[in-house]
Amino acid sequence: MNIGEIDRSKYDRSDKAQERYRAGFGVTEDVVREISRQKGEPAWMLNKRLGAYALFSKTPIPTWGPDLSGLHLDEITYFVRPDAAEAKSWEEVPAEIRRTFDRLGIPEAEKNALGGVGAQYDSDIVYHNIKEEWERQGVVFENMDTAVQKYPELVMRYFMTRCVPINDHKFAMLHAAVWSGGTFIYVPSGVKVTLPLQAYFRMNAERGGQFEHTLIIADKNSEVSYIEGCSAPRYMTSALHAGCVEIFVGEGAIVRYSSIENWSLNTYNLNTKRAIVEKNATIEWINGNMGSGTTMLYPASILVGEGARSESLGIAVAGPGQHQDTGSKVVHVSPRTSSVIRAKSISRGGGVASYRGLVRVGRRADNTSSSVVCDALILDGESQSHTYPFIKAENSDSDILHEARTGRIGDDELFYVMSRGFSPEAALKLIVGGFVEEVSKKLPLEYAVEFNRLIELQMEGAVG
Amino acid sequence: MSHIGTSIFNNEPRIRALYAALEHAPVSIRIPPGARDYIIDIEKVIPRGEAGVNISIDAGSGSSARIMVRPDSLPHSCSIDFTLAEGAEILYEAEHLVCAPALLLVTAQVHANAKYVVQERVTAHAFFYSRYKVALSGEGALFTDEMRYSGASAAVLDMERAVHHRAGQTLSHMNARGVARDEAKVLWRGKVRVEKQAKKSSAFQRHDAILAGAGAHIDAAPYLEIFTHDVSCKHSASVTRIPPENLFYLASRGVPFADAHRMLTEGFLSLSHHAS
Repeated sequence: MNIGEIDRSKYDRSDKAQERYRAGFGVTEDVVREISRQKGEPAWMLNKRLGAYALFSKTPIPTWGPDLSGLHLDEITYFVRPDAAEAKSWEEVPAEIRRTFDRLGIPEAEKNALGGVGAQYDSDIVYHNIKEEWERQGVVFENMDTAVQKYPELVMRYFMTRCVPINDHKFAMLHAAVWSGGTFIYVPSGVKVTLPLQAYFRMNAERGGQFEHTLIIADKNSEVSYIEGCSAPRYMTSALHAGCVEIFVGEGAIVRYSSIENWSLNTYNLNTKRAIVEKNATIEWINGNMGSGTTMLYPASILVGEGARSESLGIAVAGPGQHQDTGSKVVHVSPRTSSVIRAKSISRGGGVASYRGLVRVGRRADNTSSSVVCDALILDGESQSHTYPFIKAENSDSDILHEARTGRIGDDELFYVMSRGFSPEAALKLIVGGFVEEVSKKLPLEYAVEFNRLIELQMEGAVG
Repeated sequence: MSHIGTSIFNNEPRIRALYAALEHAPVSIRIPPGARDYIIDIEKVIPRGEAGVNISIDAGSGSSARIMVRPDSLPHSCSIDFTLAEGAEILYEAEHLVCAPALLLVTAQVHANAKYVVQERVTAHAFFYSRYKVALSGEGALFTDEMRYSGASAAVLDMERAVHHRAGQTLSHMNARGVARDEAKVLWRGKVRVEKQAKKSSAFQRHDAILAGAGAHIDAAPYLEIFTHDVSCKHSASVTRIPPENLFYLASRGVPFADAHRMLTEGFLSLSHHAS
């Protein structure tokens, strides 16, 4: 496919969906109470929201990282409910909302490649379904709001407690106060979900905020792969996405979490993702960040069990007007834990790509190893690439390695490809395609194709 | 200092106390343009008995000099400001034995085609703060830095190396190695900034450390900030143990464990032969 054929409008176009409720601008205690009231939540969840709101009100916006001065928290709507009840069949979803997801290819992907799908429109989940095969084996794949009602004990135990506590940082506090929708997954002991589960988050409202919460609990020796896709139409005003992902990987379990974040350029994507990994368990993070004006996203793994492993593979593409501040964090708490972080970035057209990461090896983490490799490509003289790694070593029986390199595509590489008959633009695409291949080949085929198209779209006009 | 929400240990109060001692009479050293092979022993040009000293060293165009700092020759608080005119060459060889809290601030302005070479060795048993700020302001300016450190007992080493590439075709090469023993705490910060106009520059930054004490602790933060594309920049950092297979190799040849450990550490801390 030629890059000229790629149609960005399927992401950027807004739809005129009916709204059931829209809160006023800004976040107040009344807004927090109203969200909880409309959802019919138990008192403990309301108290958690109010506690988080109190902390949020007195915590300043962080001063490190990208410039957040353009984010006006009082000009954002924190709760917009579409006029649609949650459906188990796409036919039941209102036509104007269904059209959005059809355009994004979600129902088609569900038929071909997925074990279950959730679709969120602004603050509410509008579609949720899981294939019977997994349901029979006890796999729970639910809207997070429903899970609060149906599985209160599990949610009370795991929701913003020891993984991402409500006082973690300013935007985790905001998230805890106004969260709505998202996904709850529970995989019972020994069950291996062989087809990925997926959730797609669409933020349609202008000056909106989306605060979905994803909670994944993989019990002992289970396996699950989960994919998140995100997009929003393009407006002239700012929007905020402050989601939260909490993953509990039980002993011997394997969880692969993939996300392709393609928010529109007016969005501030300030997301928190963290996993607690038990004995001999594995977490794999695959993150593609192509959208948003400003992104701050550092998926973290806390390796609490002996022999726990973390793999993180990330790619960030920063085009004109974008600042992608992404990276990964790993805390080695126990012995024989290991981590690998591979981070790649491409900056072009004045975009800024930053890697910001942390590797911490605690005093008890004997015989641990950690390897971090960052590769950055800068495609023109206007763009920037920064690397801010941080190593904190407290154990004398461990090995921590970090390396990074930044540079341009060599003239000799371009010349070599062009001498085989490729145009400069096609040669650049080919080389960039090779650069990102490590990420795309880890995704299911349909998503790899979509991912490669997004990269091509980003590369449009990069030559000349 | 905050980094994705993680604080690193704060030495500010101790640094402030040492800064206060810097307000003493300055010492100025001028190396005439074209003068070659100057040798300056810092101990012989600074006043004795001062708590702090400011030294400025101006190397004239085309000059070359070797500046030596012997262990114990500097006061506890010291700043040295280098200016290297076009084509000047300075080899700065310093050895610091830190038994009481000490502060060392170094700045260098390196103009076109000048060459600033640092070889520094620090052995610390107490608090040591050092900060190097090197500006490569002229085309073709070069900075190489071979640094070795060793912290023992309750030493705290807070070290920062910042290189600013401001002109085209500039080159920096930093290679730091260190060992933290006993309860020593080390904070190593490296920062390379390559400005938009510094096309065809090359920057290399490396920090390797060995944690050799049960209570030792190393924080390493090697940063790269690149504002243009026509450059080649690399950095690496590692914190490791002495490889057990190397210890085993020496032990199998009859070398006692403690001696094997010492030999391997000394080897790790030796300066590269091609450093200068």
